[in-house]
Amino acid sequence: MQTKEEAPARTQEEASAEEASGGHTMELPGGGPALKIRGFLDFNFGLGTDANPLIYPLNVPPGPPVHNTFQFGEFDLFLTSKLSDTVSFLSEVVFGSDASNFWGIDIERAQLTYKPSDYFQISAGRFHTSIGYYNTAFHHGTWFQTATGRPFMYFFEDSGGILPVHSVGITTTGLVPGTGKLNLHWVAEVGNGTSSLFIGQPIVAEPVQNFLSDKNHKAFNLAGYIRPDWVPGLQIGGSYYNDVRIPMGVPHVNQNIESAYVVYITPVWEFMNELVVQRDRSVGSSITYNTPLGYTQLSRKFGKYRPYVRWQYVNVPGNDPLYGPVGLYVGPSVGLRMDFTDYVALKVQYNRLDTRDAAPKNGVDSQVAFTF
Amino acid sequence: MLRVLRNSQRGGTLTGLVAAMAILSLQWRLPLAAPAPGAGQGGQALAFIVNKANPVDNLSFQDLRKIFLAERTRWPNGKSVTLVMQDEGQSEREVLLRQLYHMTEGDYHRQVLQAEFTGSLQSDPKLLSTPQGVVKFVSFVPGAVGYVTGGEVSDSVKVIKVDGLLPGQPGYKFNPSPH
Repeated sequence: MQTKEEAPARTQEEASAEEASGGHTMELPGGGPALKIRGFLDFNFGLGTDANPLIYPLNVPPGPPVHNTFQFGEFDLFLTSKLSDTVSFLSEVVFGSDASNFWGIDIERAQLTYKPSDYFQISAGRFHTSIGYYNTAFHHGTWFQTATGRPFMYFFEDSGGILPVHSVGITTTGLVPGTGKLNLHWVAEVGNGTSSLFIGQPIVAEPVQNFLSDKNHKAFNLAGYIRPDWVPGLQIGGSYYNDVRIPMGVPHVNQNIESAYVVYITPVWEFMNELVVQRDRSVGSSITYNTPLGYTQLSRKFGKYRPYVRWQYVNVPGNDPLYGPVGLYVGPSVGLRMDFTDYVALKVQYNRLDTRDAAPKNGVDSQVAFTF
Repeated sequence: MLRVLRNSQRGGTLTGLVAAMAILSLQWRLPLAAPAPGAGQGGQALAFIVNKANPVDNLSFQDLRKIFLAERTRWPNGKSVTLVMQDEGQSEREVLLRQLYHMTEGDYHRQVLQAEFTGSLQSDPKLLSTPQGVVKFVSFVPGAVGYVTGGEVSDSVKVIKVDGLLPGQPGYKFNPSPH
């Protein structure tokens, strides 16, 4: 950028008062920050030998699989407010049901951000951990996602996911100065980590430690990625996460999670490839249990239609001290997304899932997802 | 002068035409004010305008794209970038989406929502209905950046070069298509 000396000018507030602005906001009479609300909702119908084999844990409640069912997805209220030129707030409040039929309310994200420049920003609160790509590119609004749901490896903790996709703590990020056309970004995070108190039960109640940090230990995560100018849409990155898990009655577990990814996303093409390795080692033991997790997803837009294919793989060693019962999940999904309007998508997706100890499961999931 | 005529024709009123003729006749006798840098150049080319207080004179195409994608949110002087978009259906907006974003209108809506959702876009682009409104807004707001056709530019704002070129110059990426 070429620059020259700055001259006096009117403030943004003065100008804003004279011109109408866009957006959907609410402001209290007398001033104060404006609150902006958007909503997202998805509604599903599953059909097959297992109505939706990708809903975890399988066969919950215990018994024969459900062959067809309507499933109410996530009712997601996304709230933002700009408090000053450098301070903003963002939150996602999600209402959702599950196999228990009860409605749950979760504050999935709530973060206050201070951003004085493109080179540094810091946020405090509850956020999505910067492990891999998908977890911070797609949050709870299903409408944004091409497929009917997240890859199994990025399932939320209270839905049976094994990665710490949420953190409560502090996250910082920014552009690395002088990296020019490489556009190198850095991320550093510290948080309470994940509780281990409920591990081994069929449904993990709430592993994200919103209020207490077990044994005062803190998890940390370092990540980086590039977005080279010469291939718009390409992003290559990786991350390293460490936590000490403290399950009851057994030795503490030192956990490292390493990720690498290459994604290429344009308005037409979407090609995502991620690999994560979760390494669990009990304190005092020399054995490390490695869990590979990965997926690849390819889609192309043809007008209102976007066919896609995804293949995913999660393989937890049976004697892993934390997640052994999860086992193996591998299989393809093939689907079609149809955007009949800018804000409503209809998706139909076939899923096949192979597991270690049971017969393969097949199902077709249809979904309408929209934003309002 | 052409701009005055075109604006009058948009209004479609006899009063506007009479006023334009009067201004034309006056300008035979009065010296014209010096045009702003970039003003009047490439009348139909898309010009990117910033506040006169903005220290930036030139942006690379990639930097401009990053600004409009909310991947760059600050100017070198620390002021936050305020994006100014014209309403849907405006020809300038269609050119911007096609030549800078490489997106359809639907793609753009989704991109803005996703940028908000990930937290990279902390306030919506200002949406204005007329090129005159864009020029006026940009002239008031220190961090604003907008786009109008070269013929709409006034000396109250600054036209920035893209890859070292002004609207209308050969090789400028937002010159009107020959077809």
